Amino acid sequence: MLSKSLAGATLEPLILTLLADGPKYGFQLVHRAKQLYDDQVPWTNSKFYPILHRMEHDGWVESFWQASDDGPDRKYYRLTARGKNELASLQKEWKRVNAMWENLWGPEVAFG
Amino acid sequence: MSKPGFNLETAVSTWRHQFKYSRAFKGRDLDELEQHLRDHVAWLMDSGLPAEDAFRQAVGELGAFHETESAYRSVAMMKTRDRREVTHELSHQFSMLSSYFRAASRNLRKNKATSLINIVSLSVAIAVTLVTFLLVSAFLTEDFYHEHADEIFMVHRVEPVDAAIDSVSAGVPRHDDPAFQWYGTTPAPLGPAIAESSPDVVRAVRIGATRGQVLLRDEKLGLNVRFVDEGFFAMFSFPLQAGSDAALREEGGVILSAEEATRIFGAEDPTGRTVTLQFGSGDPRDYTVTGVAAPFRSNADLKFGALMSFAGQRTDDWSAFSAATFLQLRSADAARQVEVQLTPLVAPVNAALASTSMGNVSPRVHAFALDNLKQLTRHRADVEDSIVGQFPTAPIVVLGGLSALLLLLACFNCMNITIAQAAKRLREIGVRKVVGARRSQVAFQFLAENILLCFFALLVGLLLAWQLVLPAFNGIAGLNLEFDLFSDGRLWVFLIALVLGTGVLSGLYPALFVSSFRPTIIFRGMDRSTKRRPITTALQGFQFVLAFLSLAAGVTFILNGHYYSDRSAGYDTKQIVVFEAGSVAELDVLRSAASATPEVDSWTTSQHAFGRMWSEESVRMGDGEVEFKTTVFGISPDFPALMDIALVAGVLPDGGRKAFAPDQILVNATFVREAFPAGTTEFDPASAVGRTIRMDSTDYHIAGVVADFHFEDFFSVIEPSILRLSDPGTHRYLIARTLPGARKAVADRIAASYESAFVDRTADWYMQGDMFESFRRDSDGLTAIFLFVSVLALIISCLSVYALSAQNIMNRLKEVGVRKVLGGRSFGIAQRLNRKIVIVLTVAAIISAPLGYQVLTILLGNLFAYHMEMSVLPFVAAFLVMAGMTVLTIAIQVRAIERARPAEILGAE
Repeated sequence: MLSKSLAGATLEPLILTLLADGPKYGFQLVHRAKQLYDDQVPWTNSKFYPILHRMEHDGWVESFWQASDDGPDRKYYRLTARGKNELASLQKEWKRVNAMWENLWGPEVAFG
Repeated sequence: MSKPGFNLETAVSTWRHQFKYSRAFKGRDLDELEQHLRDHVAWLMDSGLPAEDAFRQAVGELGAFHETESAYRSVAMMKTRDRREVTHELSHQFSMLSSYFRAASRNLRKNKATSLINIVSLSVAIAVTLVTFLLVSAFLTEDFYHEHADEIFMVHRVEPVDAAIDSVSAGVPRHDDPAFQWYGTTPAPLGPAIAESSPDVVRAVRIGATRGQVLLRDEKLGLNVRFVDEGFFAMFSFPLQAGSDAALREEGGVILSAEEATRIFGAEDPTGRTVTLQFGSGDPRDYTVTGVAAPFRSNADLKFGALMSFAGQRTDDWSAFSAATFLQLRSADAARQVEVQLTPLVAPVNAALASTSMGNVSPRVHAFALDNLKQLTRHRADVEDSIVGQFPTAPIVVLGGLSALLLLLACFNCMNITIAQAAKRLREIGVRKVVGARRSQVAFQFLAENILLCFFALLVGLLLAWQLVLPAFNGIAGLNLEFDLFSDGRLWVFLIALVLGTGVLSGLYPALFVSSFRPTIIFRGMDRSTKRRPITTALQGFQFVLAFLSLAAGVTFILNGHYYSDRSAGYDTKQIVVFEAGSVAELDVLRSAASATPEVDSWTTSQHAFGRMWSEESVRMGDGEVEFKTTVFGISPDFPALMDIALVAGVLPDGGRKAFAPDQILVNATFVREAFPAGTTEFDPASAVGRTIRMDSTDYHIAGVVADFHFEDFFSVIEPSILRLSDPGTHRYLIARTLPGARKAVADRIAASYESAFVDRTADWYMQGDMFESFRRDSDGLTAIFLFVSVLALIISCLSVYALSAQNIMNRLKEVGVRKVLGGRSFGIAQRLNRKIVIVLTVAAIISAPLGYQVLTILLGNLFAYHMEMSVLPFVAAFLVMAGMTVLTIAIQVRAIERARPAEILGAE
């Protein structure tokens, strides 16, 4: 299980990355994120939503409601221009961190 | 498969119920969470789990109520906190702003005299600028208010400039095409023809323009009459305030403008009443007033005194021109198409013109062009013979320039006073900075003070403009400008821009200057902070330059106005009375009346008359290559001598002794300059004498050259003109030179003889000088406006010199005290204190005199066809006024210094 602090630090770049290839609704995002974390996240699913709402408040993502074929409306999220900038700078930071570990521990440890 | 008894919908609704009363969830948060649950359940069921198990697992992974709620609550709180911070920030900014404005109004109250000077000078400048804005905006939006303005187009006749060259143009030449000339007049049958043949034309309205006279019991009033087609009121938005437009459908009726209705009938209702009108020397006729048009808007150009039906005019003759033809199109986009549809109508016009005598002078119509109603005033300078009013470029440029100068002057005045006053507020600035104010905050405070000052000035300026400047301006210029704060959006934009613009312009530098003082220097001693910086001196110098320029410009335009009242028309205008006759019989009566009147010194007759009637003809020089248009006057041999036209070269057709042959003519000096420019380095009128010109397929020889004369007003450029002897049978004017002072008596006596011979007619006569009267009135109006603006500039300049030097004394009170104690005389002290101002003033005068001379010379040359020679007088006057002002200021200071008690000053220090 990932520690809360590490999971917390990675979640925002992860959500931004997932939204980079098009709008997605809540379950799609949560499900894909958990798959990528290999189900090793220390939170319940409902915790994702307040984080999405905060990102919306900060202007990184925006949301819209759309009718669904099988039930009530779904709320979709998509990236804003500000979110794209944020993603680019987060990517730079994480690559730098990754390079640091690679340098210290070698590639097999970093990705092992 | 689900167990029997499990219902997913009930389970979801029960799950949702637990969140119902929580305030952590806003808007549709629960909908989103519920949809997540449903999506998750569906996914689990797809992978084979029964519904109940899938539901339990999804709820489990979603999290317990308290976990979910606390996660949502933290975000909700964060949002609330952000909102609070914004509100807090806003209220903080607001309280800062209001404290700036409180401090500003306190300072304004504390320095009553300088605040008053600033507000007065700014508000005067603002009032003048506002009126200029109204004037410019009225002219720029002339006729924009007509409901169909976008679809109304005026037809123009397009002719090649040089008839000898067959100019080719792709499409219809535009108004600014140098190879073609646009004319406003069009053949009368054109409108109905195009309206009938083109599906794009909704209606056509022709306008014929003439001047008539209203015959009242004891006087005659001139009336600007327009003959218009029936659709006039449907096309143009001229509401009627009384009656109907029946006059446009039947002959014998007339519609009056509100102004004319009041002039003729006073306060009575004119509808249904009768007016007697006379056109030229025709018989007077009675017309019934069917309606009265509401007063014209200030930006109306197509105005009229009276409207009558066009039906009475010749409408089938293609060589008869009406003053204007307007078309209302289905859409503005159809204009180019309608121009193409007008092309087939060119041939009948040219055929009709060729069959009249005018055919010889080859006015060949090339095309008909359309121009939108909103563009007419703007393109007017390129169009000849148009009923559209000229755009008054000269007065607008001059007035605009003067008001900009005034505004700049007031801003610099305000700037310099603020800087001079800074010394008084050094401690305040020091304290503010010590308790932590940033430079930007201090600068902003000063700027806010200035904007507040400008806002007060704007209020006063609005009041001034509304109550004083605008009515005065309307009265002087004969305009009907009004300002409407309630519906004019552009006015609001202008006012806001004016406050911010003047506020920032006059306040930015002082704010930066004042906020740059360091508390340590301020509290150690004020010497360094208050010391004059070169830029401060330069700003004062610039203010004086502006004051000089506005004074000199004002004096120049006033002198130029006087120049017109003294300018000679080129012939005698004082002793001449002109009568117009409708027929040979009438002229005979006038002749014998003139012979029988003892106060008539001499008289003659002529075909044309200056100011009233002439013809335009094309002239070819001897070799037949060059052709140009001239103005031709048909005269009798006595005419030049009687009118006192000066001969420059050759001979005059002086009655019997040196009578001209029929092919001999006189030309004016401009004619010689334009006709024989090649090879002559300087103007030589004698060289023209004896030369041959061809006009109307007849050769004429130039017998004499006369000095240039004005036959219109002084704004019109003198054109090449010819005086040609005409057959006495064509004469329609009797021109009488009277003994000094007997003009009116002669006019009355001849008119009485005429009216006793033709009982039902009224004699049509005018004084030769009258043709310049309206020009002089306009010119006097302009002069009065310039005088008005110059006086305002003078007031602002005086106030600023006074305020600056008074401030100077205030700042150097200690020095005054010490000097007095040491026995300095008041005059000497005042002189010493003002030395710098006097130097700055002198340098400003030296800089602005040559600058102003150049600028004003160029302005006069560009704005007026004829103007006075630029002289040093305006600059001497401006310098004397400014010097007088300085002396007066110093005198006031001497008194103040005399009354000042050193003990009090030094005690306070």
